[in-house]
Amino acid sequence: MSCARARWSGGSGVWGSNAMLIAAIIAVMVTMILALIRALIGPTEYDRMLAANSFGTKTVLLIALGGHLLSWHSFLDVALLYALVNFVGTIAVMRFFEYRTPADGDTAQ
Amino acid sequence: MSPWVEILSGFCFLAGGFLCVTGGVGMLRLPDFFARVHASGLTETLATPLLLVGLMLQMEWSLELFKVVLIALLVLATNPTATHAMAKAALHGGRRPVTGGPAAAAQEDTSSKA
Amino acid sequence: MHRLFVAALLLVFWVLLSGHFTTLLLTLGVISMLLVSWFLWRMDRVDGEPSRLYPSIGLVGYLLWLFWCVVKANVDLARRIWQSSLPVQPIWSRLDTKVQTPFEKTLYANSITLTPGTLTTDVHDDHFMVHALSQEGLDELCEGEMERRIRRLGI
Repeated sequence: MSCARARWSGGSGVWGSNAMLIAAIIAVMVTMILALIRALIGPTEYDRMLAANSFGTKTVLLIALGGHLLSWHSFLDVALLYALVNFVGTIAVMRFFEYRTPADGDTAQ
Repeated sequence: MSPWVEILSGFCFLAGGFLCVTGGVGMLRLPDFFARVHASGLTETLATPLLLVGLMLQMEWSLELFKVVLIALLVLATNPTATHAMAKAALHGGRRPVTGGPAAAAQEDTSSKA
Repeated sequence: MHRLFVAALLLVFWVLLSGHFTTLLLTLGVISMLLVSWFLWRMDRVDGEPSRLYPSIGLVGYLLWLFWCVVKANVDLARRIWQSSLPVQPIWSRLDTKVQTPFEKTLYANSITLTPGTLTTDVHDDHFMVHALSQEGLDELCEGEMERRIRRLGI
């Protein structure tokens, strides 16, 4: 019983207690790869930017989950900052795309 | 940590990871940019909070928990804005959503109005 | 009163983020709090639209309801994505709205976008342009449950 408890409460069996956490990290990484594929093949620049934005959010998740798994110090501040930078970066690039050319969408409005 | 908290956190991790991969698959499978935006939203609106809640359940009670909540709130609050900015930029760039099904005819007159 | 609330919020934010209670860090926190409050005051004076969003019971209730909607939409979209026939019929259409104030419009447009399956692409005076992945998602918006709840908030 005590052995089983130790496995559940974490600490002793690294793989046993953290199996779900590792599964989640692998899922996040698979999603990152899928987003990267979309960024590489994406036919339009907007597809690529969407994939990059999604990739950034997954990076935040990866930092948060991986930092907890590896017991990094103050990893959450990094994740928080990355979330902010990701958002501001997306908005900046999209403003750039939006007003780069006198788009015909403008005259339609 | 009680086993129940551990199981709950494991469930959150599994569900969040599954939704995450679903969004990634959707981003590859869906036909055009405007449809892929929805898949991206799928990975951010529910998968992110689920994974972060799972993480919170595993952490000890400290100020760090507040930061996890803050990350989740930040992602949830910025996601619609970023999505809307991308969709609007694509519209300004002359892209029009590919529409299918019975609504394709109705789309014609709304796009001329917009 | 509004400024005091914002200032207190900023200070609490600093303390929660830093987690240290030494004199130096608290002093730095107070300085940044004063700086940000000053910036906010200047910004409000420039655009004349001070943002006054106070947490209320109604807003929390609405956000909980919205979260439930998001969960339902997520499950629905995940099911559609994993089906081999990919049963999505993208539709881009006009959605007539009755929301009046800029804040209500912002909240409504953001709620639509946050829900997977529906996406606001443009905001006009009396209608939004909405892109949806399926006719059902658009029909649900047209029923106006979300809009009614936002208008009931009265902000």
